[in-house]
Amino acid sequence: MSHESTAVSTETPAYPHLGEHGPMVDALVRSALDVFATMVALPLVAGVPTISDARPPANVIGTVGFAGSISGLVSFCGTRVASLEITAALLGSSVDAVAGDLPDAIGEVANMIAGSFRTKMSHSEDRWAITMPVVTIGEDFLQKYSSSAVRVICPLTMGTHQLFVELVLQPA
Amino acid sequence: MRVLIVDDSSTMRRIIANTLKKLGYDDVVEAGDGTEGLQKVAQGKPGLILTDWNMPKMDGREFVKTLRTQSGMEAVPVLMVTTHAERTDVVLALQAGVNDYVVKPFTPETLKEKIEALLGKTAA
Ligand SMILES: [Mg+2]
Repeated sequence: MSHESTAVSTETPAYPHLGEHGPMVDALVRSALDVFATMVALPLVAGVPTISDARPPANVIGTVGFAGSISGLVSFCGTRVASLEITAALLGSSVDAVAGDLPDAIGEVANMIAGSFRTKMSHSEDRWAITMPVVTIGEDFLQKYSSSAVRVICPLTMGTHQLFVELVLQPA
Repeated sequence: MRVLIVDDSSTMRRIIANTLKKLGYDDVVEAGDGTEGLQKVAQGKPGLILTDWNMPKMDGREFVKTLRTQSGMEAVPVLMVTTHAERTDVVLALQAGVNDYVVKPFTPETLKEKIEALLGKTAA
């Protein structure tokens, strides 16, 4: 009887502390890990996601919207230094040669994470769509969402860098 | 042999071009959307096309549908590289005239195998 709850075992926990949002957040984190493992070849380690209104400390943010039975936004957030490393790894180039490529690269990272997330969430009775990516770069800006939106911040560690994926859910 | 890459992301075009270069294909032409892709085809017929699905102006499915109506382009091998991974998506892409399909994210090995299989298959 004590084994019943372990019958469905996955590599990453579905975050029971996030309640109904746990499986969605799990799908998003697994999408980010998958994109980095296959395309970037820089290993990521997932931390514990939290529901929070605090903007993650990041000056490069790639965002893609999604719409299905639930709609909202997925953002990939990192520092400029980390984003340059990711860009260089994607392009097979060196960090000092890719500054101009950074916006498109981070947009494509966000696109692949959101696309993979969409595939995990979408099914025949509930088809999901995603938008084109938008990339924000800078230090001094405010992001304003609907006051009733739920924001989940998922920390990811890449070597010495702290990255985040953020899930913003629009209330139904 | 000329290879055409159609994708609105310059990053994805470079990733694909890097893999092609390793396979010995140096004659690579790039386009940022389907409309530009058709212009590049008119300038010199490619022997292989890799195209994204989601693009502004003209998406990958429209691009391939139009491509297939053009003389000499009815049978050119086309590989779609996209985040669309559902079975219904693959069916729609095949109906548009795509020969094979790679889901992003992909490893360089997967892309290499798909390209080699496609060229081997259609060359027969
Ligand atoms: Mg695209």
